[in-house]
Amino acid sequence: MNKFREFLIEALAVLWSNRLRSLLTMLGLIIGVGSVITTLAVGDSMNRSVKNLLSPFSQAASFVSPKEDQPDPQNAAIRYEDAQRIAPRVADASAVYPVVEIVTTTEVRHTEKTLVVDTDGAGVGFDQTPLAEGRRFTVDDVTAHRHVAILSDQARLELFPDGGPVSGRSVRLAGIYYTVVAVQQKPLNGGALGGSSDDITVTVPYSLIPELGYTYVDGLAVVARDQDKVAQVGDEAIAALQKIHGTRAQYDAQDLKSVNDIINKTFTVLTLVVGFVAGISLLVGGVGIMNIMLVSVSERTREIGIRKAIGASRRDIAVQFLTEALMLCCIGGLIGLIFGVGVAEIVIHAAIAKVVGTVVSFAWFPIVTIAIAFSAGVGLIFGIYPAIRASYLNPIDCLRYE
Amino acid sequence: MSEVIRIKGMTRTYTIGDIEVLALRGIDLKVERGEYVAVMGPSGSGKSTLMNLIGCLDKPTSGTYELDGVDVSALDDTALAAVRLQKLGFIFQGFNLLARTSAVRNVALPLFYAGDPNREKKAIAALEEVGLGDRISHRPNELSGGQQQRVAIARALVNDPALILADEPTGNLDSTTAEGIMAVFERLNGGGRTVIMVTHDENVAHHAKRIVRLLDGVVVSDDSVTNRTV
Repeated sequence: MNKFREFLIEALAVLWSNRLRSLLTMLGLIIGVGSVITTLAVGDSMNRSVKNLLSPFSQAASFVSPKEDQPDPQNAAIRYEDAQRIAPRVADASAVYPVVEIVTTTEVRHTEKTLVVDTDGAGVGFDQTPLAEGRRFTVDDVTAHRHVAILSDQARLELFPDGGPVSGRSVRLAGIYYTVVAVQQKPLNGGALGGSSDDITVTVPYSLIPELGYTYVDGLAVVARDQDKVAQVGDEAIAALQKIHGTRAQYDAQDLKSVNDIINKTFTVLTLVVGFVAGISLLVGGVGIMNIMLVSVSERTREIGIRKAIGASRRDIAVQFLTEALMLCCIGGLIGLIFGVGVAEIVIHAAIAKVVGTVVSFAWFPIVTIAIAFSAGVGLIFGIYPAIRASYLNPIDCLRYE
Repeated sequence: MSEVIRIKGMTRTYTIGDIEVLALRGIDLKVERGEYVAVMGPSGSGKSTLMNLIGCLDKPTSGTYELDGVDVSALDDTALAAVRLQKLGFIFQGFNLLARTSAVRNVALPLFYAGDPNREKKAIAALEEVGLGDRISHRPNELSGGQQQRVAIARALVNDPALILADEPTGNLDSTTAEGIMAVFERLNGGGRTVIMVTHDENVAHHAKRIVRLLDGVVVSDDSVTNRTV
């Protein structure tokens, strides 16, 4: 071990005495490791950012709606009562309720605004955006058809610009007064998903759907008791709907869990493909290192001869040159890591943050591990051949070498 | 066992293309502990080949070679490296020091390979023995030829070898400096060390106690030196 430390110090001294050459040799690896790291870090950040967008929505709920293209759309349309009719057939669901989203416009202080009326069930339903004040809908709210409403942060700003708590105050929608029971927090994602943050969104209990004048709904929210069974309850709900509407009626069940899975898969494939391309530059960097190590071995043939004559074994010589290659790669990898993380941070702050709204950083530990593993791996793979070549040189020939 | 070297019927044949070159054609040689032997011969006589074989840098085609009681003629490369490390000290015509490395680190090199924890102290002691105690941190390019050769001698004796092998040690030096180097050899031999020196210079050879002359791969004469230059 003590011997290895000496080899390390000696290798650093050799690399330092050829500073410019060492740096140029590392350049390929710096770019290689840097681009791999940038790819992985940006990919990771994008993945997390996109998932963050979805975070207000429950992963336990499946949204069942008619497919867009089907032979008889009229027949497939889901009616308000369907929710109650299929609920007994979906064993693992804790709730099945109809959902509509009504998008209209309204005039607030002489300005045209988009007004979105959403429906939701009791408790923590589909929309899990935390509340800034107030309470969620209760079962009583739903069964008693109470005129209650939850406002989005933007709705509060537009409708009650004077500030202060608004629970208990009233809003009027289409001539009917609703009592505000809660206000949602400002969404993390800036409203990038499911409408713009400028929209005035008001959520009311789903039991008011008939009163709002709707016989047909956008779809059914099917909430699974267990998050893992979300795909299953979706399928059960479809089967139950087809019992009512016939098998020609086609439905889609969308849940965030499968969306999450798709996002994961997409990013994995994307990261792998871009990472592969970046990996090619790593390969080029490795070949550059091997090239310089071979030059170094032939330049130092005499030194190898001296060392062997003095009593250095093949292993000693091989370890010496391998250590040099490893040091070259590890230093290059370290610079590449810093460079790659720097570029990734710039990309994340400049591009992703603009699109997504919030900055989500990447996981450090795997990135650093990969950088170290890749550089050491390149050092080993491309350093071993020159090292072995050096170790097999004949000392007599080496000493004669000029 | 007072013999450091015992060589019997040693031959060495090189194959260059289809041609076989007999560099050594049956050498018998014994060297006792504490001897000081000069090996002489014109170029092509086989003295470099013999030197490489004695130095365990090469293996004989046939014959046996015992160094310090160990039969080294059948050893593999790794074992030969260990023998060079423990039993031999090399001194070359061109000094062969590591250029970017200080005198003390050059001298300590064999001890580094041997994994000796006290190598720095021993290296300084060896440098003092050759009169370079005040030059330990100097690099080879900061030293004169004679001083460089002294560093090389210190490196050769630092691992306390059974045999010191010198190949034309004064070949690159002017005659005054050469005399100084020969005086170092004289002192080492006086201290009981076994020295074998290859040279083509009669004056240098006459510092030794015994001269072995080679011609065409065989020993043609092996005499004690009566008129030694000391």
